[in-house]
Amino acid sequence: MSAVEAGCAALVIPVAAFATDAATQVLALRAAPRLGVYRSHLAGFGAGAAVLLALLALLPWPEQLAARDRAGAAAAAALTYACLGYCYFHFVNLGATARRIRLMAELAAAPEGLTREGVLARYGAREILGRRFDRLVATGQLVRDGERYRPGGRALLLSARLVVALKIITQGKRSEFD
Amino acid sequence: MRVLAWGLGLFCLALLVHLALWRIRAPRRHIRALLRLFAGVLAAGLLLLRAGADGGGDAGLCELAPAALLFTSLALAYIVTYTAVQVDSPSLVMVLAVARAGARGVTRAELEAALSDDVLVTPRLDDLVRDEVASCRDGVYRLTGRGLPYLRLVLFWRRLMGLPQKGG
Repeated sequence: MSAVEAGCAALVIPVAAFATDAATQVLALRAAPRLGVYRSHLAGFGAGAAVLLALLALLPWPEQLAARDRAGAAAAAALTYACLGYCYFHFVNLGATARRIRLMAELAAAPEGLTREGVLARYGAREILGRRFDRLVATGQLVRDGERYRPGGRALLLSARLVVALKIITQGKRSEFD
Repeated sequence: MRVLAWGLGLFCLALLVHLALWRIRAPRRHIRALLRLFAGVLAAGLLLLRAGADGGGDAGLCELAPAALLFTSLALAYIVTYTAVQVDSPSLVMVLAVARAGARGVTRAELEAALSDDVLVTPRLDDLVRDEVASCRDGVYRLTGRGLPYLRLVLFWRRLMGLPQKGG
């Protein structure tokens, strides 16, 4: 294999792994809806990672390429795949949870336009919170105790604290309303 | 090694420029500004790499393309994360509020009082108008054509996965 072919492989391998990730995720969810979106993502990312590792292992690297450079190329391919997989996870998640996308969908369904009250009649705070309460309880992040909600699992709480830290670093404030 | 070094190095440089600029003055349209910033750093970096600025000789397509792909995937991952950081996610706000309440917990009514339409919906409508995805004339909101391709892709993918069309 020439250096040019190795370079092309370094481009194609993470893209092939990402295509495997997306295809496996969709097929897994269609074949087994009870799997849920999150576990279908795990299946997809795992399948993509397996394809990535297999292609990197099978690649006939040029003999003149030093081991350090092979490791660097493999690391670049793996990092590219991980980022593409992360973006895909968020693309799917946005479709499920993003308020702006839902608002766009409501406006798209009303070509004559909607007043603010018309928008809120179709999608408002009560539905937004209701969906999230259901999701957070179903995933164990909140625990329902009669009328009150108490802390559950810590994964989302840690994410929330990380996001606040990132807000302070990038925007100098803890909330968009500060 | 060059691909990894240039892809990561350019991304780190873009991040530093982003943080410095945002501290001086945050742009009105954050995502558009970030896309332009990353595109500019990538273009400049590829020119330097092509010219062999690191002393490693002129770089050909076999190094430029994978480096560009690595940088672009890092940039997209950052921008996706940034959109989550830029606005207050209701789920994360809810989880933080419940954690702060501790053993006492929080009722649905308490959270609904704090997270009203003015907090959860109106700012997002304003975002759509600011980003020219929607217009607001005489108090009536309508979609412009700008965001339609992305909306169609999202809805198509949800249909593909067999999920309900209405999210949120």
